[in-house]
Amino acid sequence: MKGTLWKTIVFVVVFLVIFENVNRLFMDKYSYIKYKDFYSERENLDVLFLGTSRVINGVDPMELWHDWGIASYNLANYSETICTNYWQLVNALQYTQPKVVVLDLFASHTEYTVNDAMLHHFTDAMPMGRTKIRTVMDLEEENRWDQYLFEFSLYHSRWNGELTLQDIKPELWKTRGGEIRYNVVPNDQPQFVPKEQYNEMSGVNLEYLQKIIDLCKQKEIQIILTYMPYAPDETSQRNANYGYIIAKKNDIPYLDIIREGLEFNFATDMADDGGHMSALGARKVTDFLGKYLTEKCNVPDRRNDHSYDYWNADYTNYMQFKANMINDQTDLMFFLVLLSDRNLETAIYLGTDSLALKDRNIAELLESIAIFGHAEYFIKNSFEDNEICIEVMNKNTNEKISVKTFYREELNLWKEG
Amino acid sequence: MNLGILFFFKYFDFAIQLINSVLDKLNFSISISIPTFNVLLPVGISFYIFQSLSYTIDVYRHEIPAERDFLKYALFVSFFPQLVAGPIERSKNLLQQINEEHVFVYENMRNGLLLMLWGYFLKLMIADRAAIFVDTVFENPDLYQGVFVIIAVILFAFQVYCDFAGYSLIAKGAAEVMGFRLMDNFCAPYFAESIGEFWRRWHISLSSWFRDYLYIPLGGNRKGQVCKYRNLIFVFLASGLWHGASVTYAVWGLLHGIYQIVGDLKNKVCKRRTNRLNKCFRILITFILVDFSWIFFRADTLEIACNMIHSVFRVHNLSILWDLSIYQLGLGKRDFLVLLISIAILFFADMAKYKNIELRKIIVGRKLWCRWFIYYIALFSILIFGVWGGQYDSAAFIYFQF
Repeated sequence: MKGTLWKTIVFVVVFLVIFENVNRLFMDKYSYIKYKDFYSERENLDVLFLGTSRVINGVDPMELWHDWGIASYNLANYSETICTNYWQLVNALQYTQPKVVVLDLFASHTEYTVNDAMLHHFTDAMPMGRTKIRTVMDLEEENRWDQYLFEFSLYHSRWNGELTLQDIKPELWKTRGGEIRYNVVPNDQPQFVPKEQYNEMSGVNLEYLQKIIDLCKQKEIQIILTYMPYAPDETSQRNANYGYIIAKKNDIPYLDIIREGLEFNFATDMADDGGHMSALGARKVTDFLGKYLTEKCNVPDRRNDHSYDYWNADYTNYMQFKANMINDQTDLMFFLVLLSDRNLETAIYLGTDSLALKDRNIAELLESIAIFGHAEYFIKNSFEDNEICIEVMNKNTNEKISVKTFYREELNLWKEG
Repeated sequence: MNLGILFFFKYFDFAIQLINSVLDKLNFSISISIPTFNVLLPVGISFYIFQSLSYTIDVYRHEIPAERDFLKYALFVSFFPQLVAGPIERSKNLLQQINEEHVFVYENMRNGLLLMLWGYFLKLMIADRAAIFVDTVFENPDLYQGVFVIIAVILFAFQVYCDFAGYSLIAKGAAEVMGFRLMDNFCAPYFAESIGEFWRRWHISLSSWFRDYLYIPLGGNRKGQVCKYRNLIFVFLASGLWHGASVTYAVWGLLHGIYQIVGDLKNKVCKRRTNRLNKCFRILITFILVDFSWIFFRADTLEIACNMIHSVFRVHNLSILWDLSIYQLGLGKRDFLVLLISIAILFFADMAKYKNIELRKIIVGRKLWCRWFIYYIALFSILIFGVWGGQYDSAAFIYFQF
């Protein structure tokens, strides 16, 4: 009898070990690669960013570290709602004690509907426990709890052509939750609605926003409400204006960032016409937030704190990742949007009557390099008018990152030759 | 009393609808229509009513003593492993076991779990996968015709078998874990050489119930050929209606009754040849006849069933086998491959059963590493390739959907 008991125990243990590995292999990896660093962070994070895709694309924690010494994590997720933001915060506070929480209000007037993908992206990486169970029970209908609390019930069907090499060895994001976009779509400058005109916020959004604010106050965390820059329609602007009412009522700051004196250029700083910022827009917003957090919220500069030295190593990896991104671009606009960086030096070679300078979008992007980076221009007779050559160096290491020549093709497209 | 409950819940509305349609056909000048009730059908009612009936009849026939302990009787009727989908146990077998003392026996647990594993294999790897294709065709009969129907009907034969046999095995296995022995409900039915043999191998607990409590009391084959054929028709009609209150089930039952009579007449005229080729031929013919009848079992209405059969002869679309349109009905190429491999495994397992080889005994007799390897492969194959839980849709998971 003793022998059969041991055999049964060993059988079950072996089964669980195999199952754990199979489960890990079949999981959708988005949640894991975005949040893994958060759950394994060695030191405390001083700032947490919550919100929707506009925050993921708009705030770069690695640049916040490099320029301001702020240890932060971008927890925002695609298609999030205020309700999910609340649970993000409840969960995050179990792992870190931030000084400041920055919550974007883009979803303030969005009706709550369950978005399976978003909820999985948020909850899959969450360790199983009381908070995860409460999160799922609060956000999802009862008949679907199983696929969040026992994800294998959903992901096992990925055998059917979905598994890739990335599933065997997933590559983590090197950005601490940010996902910067390298494409550019010129947007028109919007007309702004006066702050006094707003749409009331109500229902679960208002309830959960208040819960977030109350939780922060209870934990003595400073909360800042924001509205990330984009070219909003009139309704969205009225929604954004309600942030002033909420902020005033709770005596907390609200930053409708586009109104804060930021030199935002709608021709270069947007990645699409859906309100998501390009790398250049994100760079400006990150810089603005870094300054605000340092000067107004007294968030400490951790660059001289040796316990945070691993952040510097992570930043070096991030720069390598960025260098690879620069090298991978074959479109001139996408290439230029990456060059406005304090670590880079750029040399630009043009013909005497270059068409690049006559192309408004290209000209604006060339100008934008100087906002954070450094660019030198060289006019050469040997260059054709439809040709532009760009050399990019890492200022800190003097290493050449990229040398690319682009040619103007039809429809004003500049492609690598 | 038992039959009254069953009639009210399952057949009352059906009977009223039939009466209404007859009144409608008679074309009365005043329109008469009896209202129906839309009664909710209790889960598994046909199974436990028949189980209760067998007890009552057995006691009436003095074959078993009446059970004086109400709780034991209640346990017999509501024994959870087989409550919902059978097998329909006889009081002689199950009630007696309830009175036995049950202790934990490792071998019972292992054997029961193995049986359940095989049941889950049938249900999740074959039945629920085939159902995706079958449902698409049967729910869109105007869209899918000809070869689509042939494939759907063949797959339905495996779906209905694996679904039902899977449930029965899970029930039998769960009971075995607790030390209870339930009867075998299926025994390689598609290896039957005649419709009569098919019914000795298919849903054995039901067919033996009808034999013992309806066919034999009606006179069976003791009162001449005409009475025998009348009894066959009546029993199979009842069997059809037991499966569901619908004309399609009645036709399905009738068809099997007719098959039996034709088979009986044929056996009187032709002598059965026993060589292997003939045997295979008979198995194939029996399968085709059974499969044909499944069309009526699965179709929503008689009209749909007839149209589908008609389309097999009318629409010539053999090209779907190579132009990939077969993969557009919910089962992709990989799913079809898994389904075919699973059906091949089922074929060999049933072949072994047909030849009285007990695979479970062979596996249990292997060395530890070998049988554990088989267990793990089986477990993880079902967990990974089985159709269960939510279906991952990569398109919905592309995160650039702001």
